[in-house]
Amino acid sequence: MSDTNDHLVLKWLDDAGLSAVYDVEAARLTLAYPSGEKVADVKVGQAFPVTQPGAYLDFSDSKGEPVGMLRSMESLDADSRRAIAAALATRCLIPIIESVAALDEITPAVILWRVRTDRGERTFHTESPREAVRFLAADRIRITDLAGNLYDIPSLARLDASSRELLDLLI
Amino acid sequence: MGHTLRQETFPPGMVAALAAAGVARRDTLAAFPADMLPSGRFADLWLIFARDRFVVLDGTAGGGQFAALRNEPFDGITGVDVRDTIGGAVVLVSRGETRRELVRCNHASERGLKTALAKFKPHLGLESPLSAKDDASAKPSESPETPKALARLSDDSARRFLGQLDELDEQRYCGTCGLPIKRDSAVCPICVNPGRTLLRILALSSAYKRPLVLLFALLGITILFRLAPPYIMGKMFDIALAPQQPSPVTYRVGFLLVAVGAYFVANVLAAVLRIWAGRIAVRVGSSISRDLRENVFRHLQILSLGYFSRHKTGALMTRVNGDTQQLQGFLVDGVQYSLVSILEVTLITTVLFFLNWRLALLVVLPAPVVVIATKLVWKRIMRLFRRYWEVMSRMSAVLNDSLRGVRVVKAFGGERQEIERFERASGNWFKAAVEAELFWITLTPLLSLIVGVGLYLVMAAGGHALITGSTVFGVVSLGLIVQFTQYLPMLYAPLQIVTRLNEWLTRSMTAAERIFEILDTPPDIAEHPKTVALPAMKGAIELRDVSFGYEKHSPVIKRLNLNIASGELIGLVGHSGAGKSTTINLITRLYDVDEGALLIDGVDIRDIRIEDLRRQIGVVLQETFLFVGTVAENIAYGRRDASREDILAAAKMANAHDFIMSRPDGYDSEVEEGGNNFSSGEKQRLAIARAILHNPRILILDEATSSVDTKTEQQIQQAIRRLTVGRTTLAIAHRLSTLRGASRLVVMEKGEIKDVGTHEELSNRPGVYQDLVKAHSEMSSLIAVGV
Repeated sequence: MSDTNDHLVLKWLDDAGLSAVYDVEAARLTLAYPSGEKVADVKVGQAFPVTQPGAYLDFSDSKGEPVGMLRSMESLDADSRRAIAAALATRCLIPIIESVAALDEITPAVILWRVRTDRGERTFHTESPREAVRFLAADRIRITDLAGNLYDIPSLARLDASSRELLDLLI
Repeated sequence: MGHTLRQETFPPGMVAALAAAGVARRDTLAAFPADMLPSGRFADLWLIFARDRFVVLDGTAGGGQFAALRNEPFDGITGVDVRDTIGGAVVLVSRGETRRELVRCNHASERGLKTALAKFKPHLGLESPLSAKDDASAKPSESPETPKALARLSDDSARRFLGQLDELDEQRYCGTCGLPIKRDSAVCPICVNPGRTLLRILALSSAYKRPLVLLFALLGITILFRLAPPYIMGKMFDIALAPQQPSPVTYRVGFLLVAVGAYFVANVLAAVLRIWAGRIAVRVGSSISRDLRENVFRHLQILSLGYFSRHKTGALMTRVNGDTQQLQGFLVDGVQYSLVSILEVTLITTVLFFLNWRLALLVVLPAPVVVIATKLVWKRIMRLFRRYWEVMSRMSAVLNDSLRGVRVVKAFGGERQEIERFERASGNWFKAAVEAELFWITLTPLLSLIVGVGLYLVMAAGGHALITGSTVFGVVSLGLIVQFTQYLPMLYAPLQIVTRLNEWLTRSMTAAERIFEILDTPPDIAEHPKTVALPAMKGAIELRDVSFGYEKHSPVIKRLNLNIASGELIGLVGHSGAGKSTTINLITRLYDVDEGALLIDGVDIRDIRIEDLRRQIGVVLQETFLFVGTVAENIAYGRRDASREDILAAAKMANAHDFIMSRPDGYDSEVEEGGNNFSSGEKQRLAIARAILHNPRILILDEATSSVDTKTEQQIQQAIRRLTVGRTTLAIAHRLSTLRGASRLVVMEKGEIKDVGTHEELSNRPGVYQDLVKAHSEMSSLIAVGV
């Protein structure tokens, strides 16, 4: 019974001695257990990317078979944490908006955004906020531009005053 | 972000950078935009497909200059894969065990790049082409297990790939302003031409020409009558109440009575005409909106299933309901208010200048302030009310959720949680409502204050001239001042409406444009003029090299070949996602095949009259859908001419008669929304009865008996056996007992046929079917022991 139902039970990874290496060039994450055993080309995902980012990480191998879950990467060594963070960064290409330079209502149906993101500056167009802006949490918004590209503001409260003022006129 | 560039449109800087990287222009094929460096920073990147390599160029420096970032010759490449990420995709190139990131891109570029690579890989020899059996150049250079890319594309492959560039699923941009066009739309919100759209609406209104002419005439006359009372009032002061020249009392009293009478009549006539015009506007506006709504719904009915999978149901409902309603608001109130306001502003200004141009100049002084103030505060008002509507719709969603899911709420004891959830939403709504209303309440008197400035100026300057006899403002009488003070409020109110007219017009025209967009969408499954009538099908089906994908870059059915004889019962088996339901969707022509052909009685399905096809194919789906109405109406759905005896006979055959008759209203029992007042077994049998009545030549069964008890299952199986007699039947069966009756079982995996045979044959040879049988018997034993 237990054999047949293995796939129904979560496998938790022991963080003691677990390490991770990320090859940026090949976009390849490798996990190494204290025993020396390695799992190459591991995919990592977050169970709660919005409400608890960085915790409850899910690892699967290149064939999509589960490797296990890690409750937190806090106790891993700094290099491993950086490696997992880098792998997570390639899993999510959504730019984080750090400040809003301008919001222009070109027509009542089209807004032009000029923003600075963690990936550089960007100018894009959205529909009116009603269609384009979605609250993921009380303070966190996701913006979808006309081309379907996504942008996140993880915390409205943490934006600078001028960005908040601009956004406040819209949302 | 840019568009895909074909070789001939490469900018000179790109050509130069490629030449420096060792790629001659004649060897290039196309360039695809991408926007992120491996570091994750934004950059202006281009992935160039050449005949012997991929090159990534960086144009971030600007000025038409490009630099090569990557140069990947095809020789030795063993894989090119697109890894989906949240918010975009990463393209990776493998050489055996080594893998390198080639480029990464956002959503906008991802779709085009994915389809391009899907089309390119077969030419490269990394993947077999879907249906190019005789394409020798596309064969992998080594064994299929370890494919290696060809070092260089053949002339033929290069030419064919260039031909395939037109089929890419790319982000579209507006041809006029360059703005990205939303995926589920064809309208550029900036280039919506209100004039052209208005003309189309007017064309729709042509059926109501007469009432419209009457409406406009009435509105014009109404304004004249509205302008009269202030004028009469002024004259009443100058001639009857405070004449500048002495005149007989009887004359003054007589004039007073006439003036009061005229004042009253003008006001009454203005009111009557306004009511008349308003009633016509309501009737015409609602009629046009009704016509439009019905047209949209009619058109939605003929659009193919593909359209509905690309568009969210909620968005379509908004279009049918919300957008037509917005348009109706514009036609009923908008046109009236706008026309009346424009005419009023023009006429009152003319009258004021005609009465005394010097005082009139004082009046128009605050007009720009009114316009600017209205524009400024309007944005804030809109934001407040937008927030108000947003939280209100969220509260409605919570309410809707909670009431619809009341069974789950009760079963899990979630009442407290639901109360808290609703209170939170209600509290947010309260806050937004108070904020919006407080602003509005404060704003209205302030606007009146600004508007009052013109009035104060006129009263002060006019009054001063009247008392001192000054002629700076020409001849000023008490009557003149009264006329001005009466006309002024009439001028500023419509001025505020005219200020917002542009926004109103834009919003309404955008709504209208979205409606026209549906009406202008041609159905994917179109009937061409030379279709063949097939009134009496035999039911032989042939799938010839059929390939199909819901997204063009990822086929879910690959080179499927299958012959089904007339009257045969075929079972389709395989794991979820094997392509069984997709095969069914193609046979019922909910979608058209991408490649290959599907024939019924030897005729290509695309050449068969859709009406003949639909009439002779019947389906019993896993998710039975019952419409709101009576049981009888649901059974007769698809055969409106069925007699009561036909309905009774079909229900009897489907083992549905007894449970229908056990209800007090029998066949007249009402079916609630979603068929919630029927069990899943009952719904299944009603669906079978519906199919029996439809009497199709080809029957599709997507059976779902797993959720019913054994007795019900037996009744359903019995009904199905009766239904399948003498018809070509394709059954997706989840219970292997059903498949025992099949003449052949077709085992599918990943969109391909893996095996064909009878139950006995397939059970005895290793493979997917044997695994399924094992899993099934394990599950049965688990169920049997109550696990």
